[in-house]
Amino acid sequence: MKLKSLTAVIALAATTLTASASMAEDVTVYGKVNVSLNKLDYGVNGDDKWELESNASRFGIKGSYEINENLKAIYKLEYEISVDGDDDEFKQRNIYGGFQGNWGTLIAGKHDTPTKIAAAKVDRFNDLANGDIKSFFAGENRVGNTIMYTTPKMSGFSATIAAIQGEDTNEVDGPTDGASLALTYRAEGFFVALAHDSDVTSKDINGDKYLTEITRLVGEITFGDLKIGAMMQDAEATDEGVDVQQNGYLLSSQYKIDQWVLKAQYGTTENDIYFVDVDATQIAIGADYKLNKRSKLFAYYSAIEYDTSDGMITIAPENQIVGIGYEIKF
Amino acid sequence: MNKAHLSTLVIISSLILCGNTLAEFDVDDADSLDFESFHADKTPDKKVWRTQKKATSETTFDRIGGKVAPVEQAGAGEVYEIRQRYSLYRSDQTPYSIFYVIEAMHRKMAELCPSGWQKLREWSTPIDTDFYLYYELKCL
Repeated sequence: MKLKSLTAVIALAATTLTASASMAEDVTVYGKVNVSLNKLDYGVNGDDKWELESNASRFGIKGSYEINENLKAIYKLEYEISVDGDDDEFKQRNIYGGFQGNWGTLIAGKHDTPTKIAAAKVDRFNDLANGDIKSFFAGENRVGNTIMYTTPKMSGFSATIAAIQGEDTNEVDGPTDGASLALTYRAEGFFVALAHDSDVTSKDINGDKYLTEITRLVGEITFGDLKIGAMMQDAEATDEGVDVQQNGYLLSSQYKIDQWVLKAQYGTTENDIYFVDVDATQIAIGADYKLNKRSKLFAYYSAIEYDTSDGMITIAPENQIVGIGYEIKF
Repeated sequence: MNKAHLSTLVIISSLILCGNTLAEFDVDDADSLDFESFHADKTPDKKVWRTQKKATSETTFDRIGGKVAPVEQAGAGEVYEIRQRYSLYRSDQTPYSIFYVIEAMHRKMAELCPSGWQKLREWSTPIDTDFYLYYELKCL
C-alpha cells in the first residue's frame, strides 16, 4: 500500500472518529465486496487465463450535519478496495465535501462526471471486467479538480453541472477548463438523461487520452419486472491536431423472476482514429441470484469483438470473459 | 506493526465505531447524481403508533406509515407508543441490532417530545425470528 494511500485512510478514519464522537447518527460506513473468478480468452494464440477480480469493490464513509435549517454540510470519502490483492489496497473513488440545501447540492473534489453517471442505470455489467461499457465507450471518467452543482428535483427534472479545472492538461487558463452537464428526468418506471462533456479528458478505444467533446442520450423504461435501457453517444477529441471520433449505441435489458435477475446487453461503437477505423461490438449476458437484500451470486459472459480496418491497432480481435462471483453489501 | 496491519486496524476501528449507524444500501445510491437521496437519513421508517391519551386502560393503536404524525400538537402530556424491529442474530428482515434501535428510538423520542419525556413502559414481543422493541412515553 502506498504511503499516501495509507495517510488518506488514516485521515478519513480520524474524521470518522471525531464525527462519531459528536454526531454519530450522521456518519455512515458503506460499501461492497464484489469478487468473481473470470476465465479470459483474448483470442490470440489460445491465450486463456483465469483471474480473481475485485470488480470495483469499495469502502466509503459518508456524513452530514446541519449548519442551520436550510443548510447542511455533506461529505463522502470512497475508496476502491483490492480484495484480490492485485492492486493497491485502496484507490481513490469519489471523494468530496460540500453543502446541501433546498437550493441544491454543491460539492468539490474528485467525482464521476455527470455524463458517466447518466449511463450507470443502463450499463448492466457495470464494474465487471469486459462487461463495463468503459471497455468500448468514451466518457466513463472520474475527474479530480471538480466543482459540481446539482439542482433540487423539480417535478422529476434535475440538472447537474461540473466545472473541471484542467490541472493535469494543457488547458489551465480558466476557472472552468472542462465541463460536464447532465439533465435528467425521472418518473415512475421512466428515466431519461441528456449529458454533454466539453474538453474533458477521456480515453479512446486504445486507452490514449484526449480532451474530448461528448454528447450522450440515455433512457430506461420499466414494464413490471422488465427494464429496457438504451444509450446513444457521439464523441470527438478536441485536442489540436488530433483526429479521433467515436459514435455508438447500447441496448440493454434485465428481467426479474423471483430471486433471479436475467441481464443482456448489446453495444457497438465506430471509432475513427486518424485514418484507421475500428468497430467494437459487445454482447453480454448474465444472471444474478439474490440471496437476500444484501448479497447475491452472479454469472456472466461478455465478448467484445474488434473489427479493424488496419492491423496497426494493437488490440486483440476479440476479448471473451466468463465469470462467476458474488457480491456482499455492507 | 507494519502498514498493512495498521490500515486493517484503522478500517476495523472505523467499522466498529460507525457500526451502529450502518444505513441500508448506501452503496446502491453512491453512484448517482441524486445527492439528496444519498445524504438522506436511511434509518428505516419508525413504526410509530399513536395512542389515545391514557384515559382508559385499553389502548387502541393505529399505524402511521413512514413519517411521524403526532395525534395532536406535540407537547406536554402527550402519550406515544413507538416500536422498531430488531434482531439478536442474522435476519433477512432487519439488519439492526438492539443497540441500533435503542439509539434510533431515542432520536424519535427527542423528535416527538422536544421538551423531554418520561418512559412509561418498555417491552418486547417476538415476530418471526426477530423482535419488536416497544417504548411507551409521555412528553414532559
